[in-house]
Amino acid sequence: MPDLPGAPRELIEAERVAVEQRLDIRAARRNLDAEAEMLGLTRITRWVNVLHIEGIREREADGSVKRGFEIGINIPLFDWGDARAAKAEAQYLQAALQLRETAVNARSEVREAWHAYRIAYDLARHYRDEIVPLRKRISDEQLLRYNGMLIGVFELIADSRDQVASINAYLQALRDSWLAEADLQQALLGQVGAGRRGGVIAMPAGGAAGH
Amino acid sequence: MVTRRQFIGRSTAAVLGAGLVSRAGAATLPEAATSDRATLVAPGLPPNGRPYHPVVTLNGWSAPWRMRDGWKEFHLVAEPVTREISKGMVAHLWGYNGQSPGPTIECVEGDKVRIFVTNRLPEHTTIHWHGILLPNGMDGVGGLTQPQIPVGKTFVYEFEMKKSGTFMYHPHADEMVQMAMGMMGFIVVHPRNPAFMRVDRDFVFLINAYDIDPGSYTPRINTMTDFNLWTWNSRAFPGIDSLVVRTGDRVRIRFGNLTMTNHPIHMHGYDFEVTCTDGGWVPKSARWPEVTVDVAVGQMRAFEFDAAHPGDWAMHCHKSHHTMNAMGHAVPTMIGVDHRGIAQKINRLIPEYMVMGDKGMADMGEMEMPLPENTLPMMTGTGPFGPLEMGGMFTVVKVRDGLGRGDYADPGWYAHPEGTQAYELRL
Repeated sequence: MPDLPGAPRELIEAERVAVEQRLDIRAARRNLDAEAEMLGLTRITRWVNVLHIEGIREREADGSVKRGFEIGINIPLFDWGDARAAKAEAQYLQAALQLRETAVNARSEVREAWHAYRIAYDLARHYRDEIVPLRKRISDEQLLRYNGMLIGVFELIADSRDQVASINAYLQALRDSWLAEADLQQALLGQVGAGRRGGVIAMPAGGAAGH
Repeated sequence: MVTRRQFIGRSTAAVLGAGLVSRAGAATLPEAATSDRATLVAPGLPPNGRPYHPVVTLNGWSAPWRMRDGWKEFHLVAEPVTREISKGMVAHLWGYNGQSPGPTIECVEGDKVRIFVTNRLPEHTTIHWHGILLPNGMDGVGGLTQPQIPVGKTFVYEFEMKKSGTFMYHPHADEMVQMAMGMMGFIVVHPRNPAFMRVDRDFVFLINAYDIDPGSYTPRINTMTDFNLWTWNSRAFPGIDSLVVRTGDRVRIRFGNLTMTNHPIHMHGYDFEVTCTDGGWVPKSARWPEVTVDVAVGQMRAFEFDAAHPGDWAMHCHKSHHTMNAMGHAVPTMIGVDHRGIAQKINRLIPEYMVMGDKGMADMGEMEMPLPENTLPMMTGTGPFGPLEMGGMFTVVKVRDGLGRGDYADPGWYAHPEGTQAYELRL
């Protein structure tokens, strides 16, 4: 089993990677682009961050900067023209909001997976950096006490057993941290096909019924 | 302003104002002498006052005094100290004038004594003059005969030494803690007539005990009986001075017990008689010869002998655990346990493990195994024939021909005359 990496992954970085590479987000984005093409929308008026889609119509009430502000999926908004284009606007925005939903859910999954990963990482690190060395130090001191006939051989052996148990616990924690790492990697890719939030990926079929 | 005249004639201890101590203190207070060595300081003759034959304090010294208007003035400073228990171990104790026990106070029957006690401990204290006949208000019992001496304050005790003998001083304020931390000292009041009970060499020490966990420095003050350091003058063998004696000398050895248990003090090579107890001199008709004298808690004993037999004579407490240093009383007996096979298995788990105790514990005296920090070996010391396997309350009375009168320097090991030593039978 490889040793623990020197530093844990950062949450913001994990979210950024996920937004870039998750398959469900990419699919929803393709869906949005296809929608625009199908509707013949060409005259871009401005770009907005779909993760702050409220900004399309109104500013956020408190105008606060939220966590994850640096992460964005920028989409174009178009010149909707007159009222005849209202349907096209609604369809386009529906696809945009579906993209947003997918992205929000994806980030939620990543955060969940990251927290599980971080707890497992911290536990393994605590065993490696604190508990195992402390146990070793206690064992060293116990041996010195045994040398001085301050304790007997049974206490020495019992302590040695405790030391072995602490190393086993570290190995278990290390294993758990690699499992959590694998779960996080999975979350960064998204659950292809079998995802609980697979609705967006399924959308192209349903949403494109009118193609 | 409190004047010296007002002190004299007071029947209770008087307190000096803080300002007086710091400002006029230099003139008012005698110097609080200290010593920077843990081996005995050979005594000098008294520079003034009535003549006497001074005592020798093992691993210690006697406090100097200042004569002022017919009073002998001493200054004791109660304070935290460090004391080397033996080479390789230092204890963080409380004591007087830089050491535990404090300096021995020597004076002469009939002396008027004024003792300044400055408290530099983190809590209040008093000094009780154990065995001295004095006015009740000078007895030093906190709350009963005086208010405790607050931190940073100086109290003055004044009394006349009405009789000669062997005494001690120790706190009577938070007494259990302060004695467990090492606060005590010896007092010798010499007879007014220097020829009375005259001896050539007069040794004194206090018997004390500490419980200092292996790897630590400060005594466990709440221990009642299971101490792990049994000391004389807060020193353990081989850190205790030898008692160096010239053949033919009349020798007196005085000791007081401030531990929590009795100590049968045994000396090899001689029979002796107890000539002085905490109550005074023992009349000749009341003495009997013996080789071990038990000193109970809070008692003092002094025995005398004529040093007729040269040699290195062991002197120790005869409770054999008291001639050991820190040890584990719960360590299982391994004598007779068959270790074949098991040692290798344990070694796989604990590489530095060694079998110990399967043939007794004498290995401990020979091997120098790494021990916890600041911890003395359970049995240690080396003599001319090998490991001495001792610790705690053990030292050697070294009787030699032709030493100088005031010579207390270690003469080395005894050279046994031909044919006077145990030998191996060779068939």
